[in-house]
Amino acid sequence: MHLTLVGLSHHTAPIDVRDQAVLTKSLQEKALSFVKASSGILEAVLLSTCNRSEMYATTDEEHIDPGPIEAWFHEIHGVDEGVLSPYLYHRRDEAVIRHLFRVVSSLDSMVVGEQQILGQVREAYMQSLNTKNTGLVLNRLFEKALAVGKQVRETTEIGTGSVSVSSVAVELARKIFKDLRQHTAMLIGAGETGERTAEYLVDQGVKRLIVANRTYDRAADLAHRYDGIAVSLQDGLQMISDVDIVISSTGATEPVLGRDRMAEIMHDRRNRPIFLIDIAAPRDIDPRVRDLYNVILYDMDDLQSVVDDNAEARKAEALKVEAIVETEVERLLAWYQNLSIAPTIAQLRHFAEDVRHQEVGRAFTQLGHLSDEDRKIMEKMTRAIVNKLLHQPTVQLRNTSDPEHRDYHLYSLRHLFGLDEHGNE
Amino acid sequence: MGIYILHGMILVGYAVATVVYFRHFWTKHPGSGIYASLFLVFALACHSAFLIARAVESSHAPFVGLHESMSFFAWLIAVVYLFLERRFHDRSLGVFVLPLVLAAQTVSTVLMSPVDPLPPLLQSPWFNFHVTASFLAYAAFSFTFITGLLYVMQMYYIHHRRVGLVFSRLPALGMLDEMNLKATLIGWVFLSAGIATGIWWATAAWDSITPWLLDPKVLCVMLTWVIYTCQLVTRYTAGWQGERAAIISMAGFASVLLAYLGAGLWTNLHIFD
Repeated sequence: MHLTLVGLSHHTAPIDVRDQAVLTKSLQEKALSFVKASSGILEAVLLSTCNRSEMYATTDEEHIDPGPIEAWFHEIHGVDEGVLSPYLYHRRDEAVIRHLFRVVSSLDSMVVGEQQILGQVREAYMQSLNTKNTGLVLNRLFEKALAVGKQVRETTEIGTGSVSVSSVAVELARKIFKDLRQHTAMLIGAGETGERTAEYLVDQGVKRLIVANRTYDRAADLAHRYDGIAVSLQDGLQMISDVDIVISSTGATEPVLGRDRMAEIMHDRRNRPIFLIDIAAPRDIDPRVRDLYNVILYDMDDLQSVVDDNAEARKAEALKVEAIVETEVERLLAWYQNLSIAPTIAQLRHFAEDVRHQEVGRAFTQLGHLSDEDRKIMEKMTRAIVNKLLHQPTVQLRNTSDPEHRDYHLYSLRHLFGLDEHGNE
Repeated sequence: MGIYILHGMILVGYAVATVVYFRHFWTKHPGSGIYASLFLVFALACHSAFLIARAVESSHAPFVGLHESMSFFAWLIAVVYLFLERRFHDRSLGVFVLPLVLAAQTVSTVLMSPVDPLPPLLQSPWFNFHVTASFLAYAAFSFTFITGLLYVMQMYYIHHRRVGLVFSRLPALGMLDEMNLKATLIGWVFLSAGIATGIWWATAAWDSITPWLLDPKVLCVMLTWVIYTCQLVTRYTAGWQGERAAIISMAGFASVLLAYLGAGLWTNLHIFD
């Protein structure tokens, strides 16, 4: 039995290729039933996100050649054979474990430290588990991988510090105001970054979003999308004293918010803190408003410098994560290498011998009067019992040629005797 | 002998809790937060036992002299902190509060003294009320200092675009300001009550007002009251919330320290031999 991985990701394939290899939910179900029907693949999990498409599988000894697996991969995705081949990578055994652990820790992601991948891996695994496409090896591999992903996020800073301008702006808002649900935000002008920032704020539960735009229809359109209120640009500028977060990204060539006007606004709002996010170029807000009490202004350069710092910090954290991954790979590998017949039999015998030794010892203390001769006989007798009991299962296990049966026996044996709980952790 | 062991347990408890709070702050390790709180609860339990034992032994409330009052002060801060931690679901303040508790308790232990009988002047129910109210005010003002300091730090990080680890661990400005306001209000009410009972009591004990009004400790307490009153007035009239309120609180706490420690060195009235 072997762990095998075939797949492509943003590292190897351009976006148009990745688009061809996306598995929809229904396609994924079909693919899994197909995998089940094929004779060479024992277990399979299909991981499909917008940046990667991967198939984790265990195969029997006769199917260790990558050719047929690649063919399956094409077939699953409904693509002509060979189309994806130049972009595919293959991994085996230890390298599969390492790859999955790195993926789930987001080290292999386009944005290192991103959060979604852990959920995506869990979902992919659950789908295979529910359709009974996983077994001894992949269950253990994925359970462990999810634990590693969780550990990495809890014990390192890989996920802290946003690495996009809009999420940095929202993170700042959360560190300025106690509870965003009590605050109103205003988006002035349009533009991708501004809209995304507004969208994140709405996601974070901001109380209300006001959209102000030179063209009212555009404002109405955006307001409708984010369940906000549309106003004209003129009205919007009058309403600033009532909002706590302003995202400004107009195409105006002159600042729309000067220092004197801002001073008036602060007077009107009795110095309640206000967070101004200026992502327009040229700038919409006079930078001198910074001198006013309780005005916090971040422009594009400020946000970008935070993004750069955070990205730098994540790089440093990635080294720690690599170390965690390596430790966990070693651990799982110790288990994985024991998984074939010989080590399992050895473990079973070792376990039986431990029990025998312990019980004989106990009997000897109770029967202090036994002579040395008696003791030898008892040792011999108990050894014979153990050997006879284990003889048949050992022979059966060695002689099972069908790999699926053999894995089943192996799994049962390890499970029934609790071999994975002893000495492998 | 038992009392030394108890003192040791209190100190070790607070010291370990401080270390674990630091560890929790830097590593964000999820388990360590609960351990930090558990060590704090353990230290507090020992500490409460000590205060009760002391009160029983001396048959007066345990805040006569520096040894007892410092210890009582440390205990109050720890209790208030634990309450806030539960209330706001936030352990990040622990890193800043626990060293204060540890320091106060250490000073108290160093100054350990045998139980003194209560001077006749203090054998009055007013004494317990006056001192308890004053100490509650001091403990609340300690929190205005800590939240004020953190507010200034957090604002510095935000203004200077230094949004790293400490920034991500500290609570939001809005939350710090709210905690600061609550602590100021509580402190102000208790300090006013403490001053009022003090005046009532003093007018009964002395015929003229000059001897106690010119007492350095009384003057410092008055100054403290004026500073915190200013904080509240400017907050509500001129909108001086946030950083300015934070800075005024820090000044107010400096005045508390002066009243509590500094004035003790040259006052006559508040040392009752």
